[in-house]
Amino acid sequence: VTERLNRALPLLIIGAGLIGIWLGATIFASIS
Amino acid sequence: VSIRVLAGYLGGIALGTMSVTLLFLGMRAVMDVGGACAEGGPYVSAQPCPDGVPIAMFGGMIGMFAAAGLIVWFGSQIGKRAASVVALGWPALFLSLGLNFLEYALYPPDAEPAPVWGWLIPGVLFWVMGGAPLAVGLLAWREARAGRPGNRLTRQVVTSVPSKAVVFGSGVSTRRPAEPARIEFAPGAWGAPRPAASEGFNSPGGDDRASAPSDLVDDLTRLAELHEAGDLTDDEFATAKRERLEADKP
Repeated sequence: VTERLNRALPLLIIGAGLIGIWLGATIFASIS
Repeated sequence: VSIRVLAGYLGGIALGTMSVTLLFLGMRAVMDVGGACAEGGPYVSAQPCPDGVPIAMFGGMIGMFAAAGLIVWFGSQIGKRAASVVALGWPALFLSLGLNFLEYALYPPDAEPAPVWGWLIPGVLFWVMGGAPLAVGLLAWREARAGRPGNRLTRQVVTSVPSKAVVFGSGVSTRRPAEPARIEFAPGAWGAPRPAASEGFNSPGGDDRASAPSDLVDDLTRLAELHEAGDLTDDEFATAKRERLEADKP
């Protein structure tokens, strides 16, 4: 499990980062 | 690694990029109205802030710190490398906000003549502040991946940071070099070495044994670090350690 996680982690990080950017843009669009 | 740790870690990453995005967009909105805004208080500002900007900026700043905390807290439970991702927050912040400065300096929204120096200078400063650590970090990361001890610049930077605060990657050794680089004189190649060099601590053929203990300790420490970082299995670590100890016997 640890090895699979290690291999998947970079993708998970990029995915989480992109979701964060999308969230930020959506929130800003809704409050401005 | 539990789901809770992974979720907290990825949540921290998402919160971090969300916060940088809010700061980035909030900053652009303020720059669109001239670069500064304020309202309320005893003096009424001539320039009220665009909608949402106060929340975006305030939330973005708080969120940045919270995200860094989450990434370090949960990331350290996953591994050094996971926690080290937090180091990317600094270049992410300064490069993205610097991009705003540079864009508005070169392509000002109103009819000002480009470049707008008041925006160009902070833009360049932000890019240096974000880009220089990123470049050094990437260099150190590349060296560590290749298993090399790093070049002079990366070693200098990495060894000047307390070992536990080093976040450039698990493979980078934080030890200082055990001894200064030796200057070897090939006989006849450069003429006879000066007396000071030949009779001092660098004397050729002299005290090689004297440096052996610290080399041994250094090598063992390095092996232990690799083992701890997961780059060596238990068996590989045991074998390498035994071989290293054998090699040191007179």
